[in-house]
Amino acid sequence: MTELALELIGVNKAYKHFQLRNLNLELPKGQIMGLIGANGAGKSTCMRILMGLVHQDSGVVRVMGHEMPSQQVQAKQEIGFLSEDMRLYGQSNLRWHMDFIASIFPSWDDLYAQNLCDIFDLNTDQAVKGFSHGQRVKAGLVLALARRPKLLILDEPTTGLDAVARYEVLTELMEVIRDEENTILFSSHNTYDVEKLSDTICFIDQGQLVASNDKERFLDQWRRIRIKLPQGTDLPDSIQVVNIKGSGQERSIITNSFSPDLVSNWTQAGLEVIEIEHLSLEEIFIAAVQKSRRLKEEVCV
Amino acid sequence: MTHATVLQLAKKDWDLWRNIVFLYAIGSIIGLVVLAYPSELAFYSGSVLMITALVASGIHLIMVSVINERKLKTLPLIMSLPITVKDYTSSKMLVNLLMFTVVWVAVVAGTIIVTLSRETIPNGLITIIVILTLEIFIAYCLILAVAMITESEGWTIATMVMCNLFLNLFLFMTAKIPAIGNHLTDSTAVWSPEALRLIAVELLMVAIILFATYYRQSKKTDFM
Repeated sequence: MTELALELIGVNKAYKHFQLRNLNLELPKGQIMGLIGANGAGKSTCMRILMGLVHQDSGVVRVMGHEMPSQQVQAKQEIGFLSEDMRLYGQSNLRWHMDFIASIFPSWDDLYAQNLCDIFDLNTDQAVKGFSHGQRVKAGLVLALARRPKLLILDEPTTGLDAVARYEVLTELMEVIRDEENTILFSSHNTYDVEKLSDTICFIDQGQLVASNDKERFLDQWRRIRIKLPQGTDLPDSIQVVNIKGSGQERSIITNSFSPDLVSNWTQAGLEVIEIEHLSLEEIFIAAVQKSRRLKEEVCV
Repeated sequence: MTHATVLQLAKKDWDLWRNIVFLYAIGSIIGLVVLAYPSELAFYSGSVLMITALVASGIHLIMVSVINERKLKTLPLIMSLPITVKDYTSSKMLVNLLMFTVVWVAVVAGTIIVTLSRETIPNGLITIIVILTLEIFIAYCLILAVAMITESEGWTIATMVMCNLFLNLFLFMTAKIPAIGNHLTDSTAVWSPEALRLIAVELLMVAIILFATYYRQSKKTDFM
């Protein structure tokens, strides 16, 4: 049986204007999961529940085998956490922060920390208030990685970074990923970053998990297919459509269950397949979210 | 609870904010020097300077160590450590009480020493000095409690204003108690049952506020 780094079963959390609803998520050890969602979709709430900072109203949360929030101390000993809104103490330098974190984590690897500071070109003697946003994120990453965590939870780590800083942060994360023992959960609204790093991708919208799959399957099964319908016929009901555009004879269909058999079935049904296109992860995300919202509206009506 | 981590967190705050403690301790010492000068004007000026230093030190420490932790977004870094909200509360209360107590003890001890050593200042004032400085300690605990529980700058400032307004009223009302007010100019401090009862009530209030804060914090389900 696959060991899980984290597990959410039927998790609910209600705020005045937002609800996380029946969230089910599993991340096996050694895998990288990207959580994609628009602002306010529920990514940060999910991360905070995983860190024990917010208690779920109902449902089960386990992180590295520890029940959350009751066993958060044990769980957080194995977690490196970085969030976009995390700041360091401005008047102190990075060395002070490194010494502070080292005093709490026996697993702290000072050599690795120094190595990361060199890679990121960070001056450990400079007061943090003089750091740019990119330097602050990199410093936060040093503090998270040098703990040698078994699980990295990164909430929007690349938000607001310039192209060079983003490249450096992503490159270092790729380096971490090479160690197959590491498990990473990271959220972003940047589909490019998620596509680059992840094994598994989850889309979250309006507090609900919209879709979850392996990256390869997402990219393989989601396609845009342009078809031509024979005169006087309509689309067969059997076609699994996520989105459909066009009128008259020509239609552009987005499907999430593409296979070569599907095309031959359509051809046999009299449809003319004009073009089959791969979708970018961003296009898949948008299509999945739109479908989910449409379904919700239909249920409400 | 992870005692070692709580102590590390408290040490971190002490490292960050000890300069403020020393700054206000120096302010208090200057107040004491002025207080020791044999004139009525110096006595009142020194008293005001010391009370101001004491009250301001409490307000300053709470703002930088509790309110700013959330406002300046350093809280996610701290809460990513292997601690619970209870541990965080313990460390904040421990270090804040310790830092304020340094200034408080400097003010109380210094004032008593100056009063005892100066013939121009009646020793009878010592009773009301202890009662008044304990009231300032209660006010500090209350402001700390509000800051910890509400995490709101607005509520914390409102509590500070209320506490400072009450301080003058409290001084006036305490001096009106015959068992205390009638002995202010005595050559020795008079510890009447009324004065001792008031001190006991003040100490009890400190304990209640601190316990209630810790209890309320331990029940929090959402911390960020």
